[in-house]
Amino acid sequence: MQTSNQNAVTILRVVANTASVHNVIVCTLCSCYPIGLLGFSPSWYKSRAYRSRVVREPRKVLAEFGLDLPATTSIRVHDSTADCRYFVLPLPPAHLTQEAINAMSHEELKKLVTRDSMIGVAVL
Amino acid sequence: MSRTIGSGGPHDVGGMDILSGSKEENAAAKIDLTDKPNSHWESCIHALLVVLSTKQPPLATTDQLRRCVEGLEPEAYASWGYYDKWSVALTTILLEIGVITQTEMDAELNGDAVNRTEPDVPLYKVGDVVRIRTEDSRLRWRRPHLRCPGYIFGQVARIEEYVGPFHDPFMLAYRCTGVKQHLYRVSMDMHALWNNAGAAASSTEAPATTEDRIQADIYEGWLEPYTEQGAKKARLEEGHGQSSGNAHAHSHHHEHDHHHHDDHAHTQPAAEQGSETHKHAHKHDHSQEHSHEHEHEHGHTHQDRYEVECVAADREAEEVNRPGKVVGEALLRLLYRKAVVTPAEIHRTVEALETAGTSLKAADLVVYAWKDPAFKERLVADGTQFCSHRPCAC
Repeated sequence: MQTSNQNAVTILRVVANTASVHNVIVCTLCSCYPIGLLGFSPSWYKSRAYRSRVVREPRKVLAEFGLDLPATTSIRVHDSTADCRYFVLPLPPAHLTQEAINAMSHEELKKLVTRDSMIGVAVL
Repeated sequence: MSRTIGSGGPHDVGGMDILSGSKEENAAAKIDLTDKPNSHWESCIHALLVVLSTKQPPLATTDQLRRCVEGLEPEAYASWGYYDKWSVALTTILLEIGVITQTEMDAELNGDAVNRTEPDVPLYKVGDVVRIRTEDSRLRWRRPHLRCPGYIFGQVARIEEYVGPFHDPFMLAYRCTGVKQHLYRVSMDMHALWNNAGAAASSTEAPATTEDRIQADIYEGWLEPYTEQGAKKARLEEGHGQSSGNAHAHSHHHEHDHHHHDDHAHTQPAAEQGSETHKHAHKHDHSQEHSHEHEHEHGHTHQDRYEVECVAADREAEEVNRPGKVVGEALLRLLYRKAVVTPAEIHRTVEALETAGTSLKAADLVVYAWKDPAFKERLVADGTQFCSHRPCAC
């Protein structure tokens, strides 16, 4: 998969959501994004409004995406400024037990994983 | 309690906007959740960075691209599209290292006019009759530096004085000198200027005599040789449109014959274009005028063929005016012709980037992590080891 920009040395950081911590990714300075893993970034990710606001009022921004986080969930906003690329490891859908996950095929599970959940503006 | 938010430049926007501001501020701060997929030219420009960066030695790097994008005028940074900025930035980088020259780029952008064999020698001499170009998208990428007032667009003028060569202010603004621009004082007949201006004529203070003239300082790039034959052709092309007094709003048809959607983007301020596209959201919504009919017909939310084509046509129309598209396409043509990159390289890369979006490799890693706690631990500890490539994009 040679889709990336070979000249830029980058580190991939995968940040895992937990029951009490929700992660969301932004690049306020430009639009750093793991394109090789997620494809072209969505237009809103590159917009001034998203870049400007998600570091300051993330709950309000996530609510606009339809994600209302309970006050008990803390938020980690990751601002990637140049050399690291991030994606969020979302929690599996709540109704799926570990047993159910183990019983499902890779392809079945993959269909559940959305791009937005890996940017952190959605949960599954 | 209060603290000034630091800023490293127009690109440094973190925390600058909030939603609880004034109505106008809120409108700007609202996130447009519609994901507008790239146009083909935009994907090609992205691919161009990838291809240039993989040359040995690299002809452009992400860091250089950032510097050039961040060095844009605040006005351009704020209003130009994402890949419009990339187009100009990549052009700047390639000019800096001499892979292309300003003369070649100008020729690509302006076609006939600036194909100069001796760029140091002024093209016109005192007494020559010239015509002021009507602003079009090929020139717009240089604004606001390469200035020419709109009221003289399309006017016949006489060269009164050659002022001298000046560094192209556009290039100076982007931290490289480029070739010099010849500056002239040109004069126009006041009577002819305002008599042809339609509605504006009625507000002219008094009938101007034929001796009254206007002089203006104009860069060579705005001038084209004037001939009677050329003038006739121009009149035929323009029809009656030029008498309205805002000729520059309709000056693109000769370049883009296949885009006849003048009622869309041409007269629209750039700032409004984002909200315009909102009407063409993928998810059908009864409040969205373009989609409600199809909603009733089908009762489901897939876009039908007709609508896909409408959206594509609207997007093309919106883009006709965009400076970066014109620069980006000119840059690609020039690089193809000079064999710096090949169309095959670009298209292969576009395909690979698009495939990355559909294959969504990150989702594979997510699923592995869900199934295998040990894998998850390793993935979170060091994600890079699970990529056969460098997961970069900016």
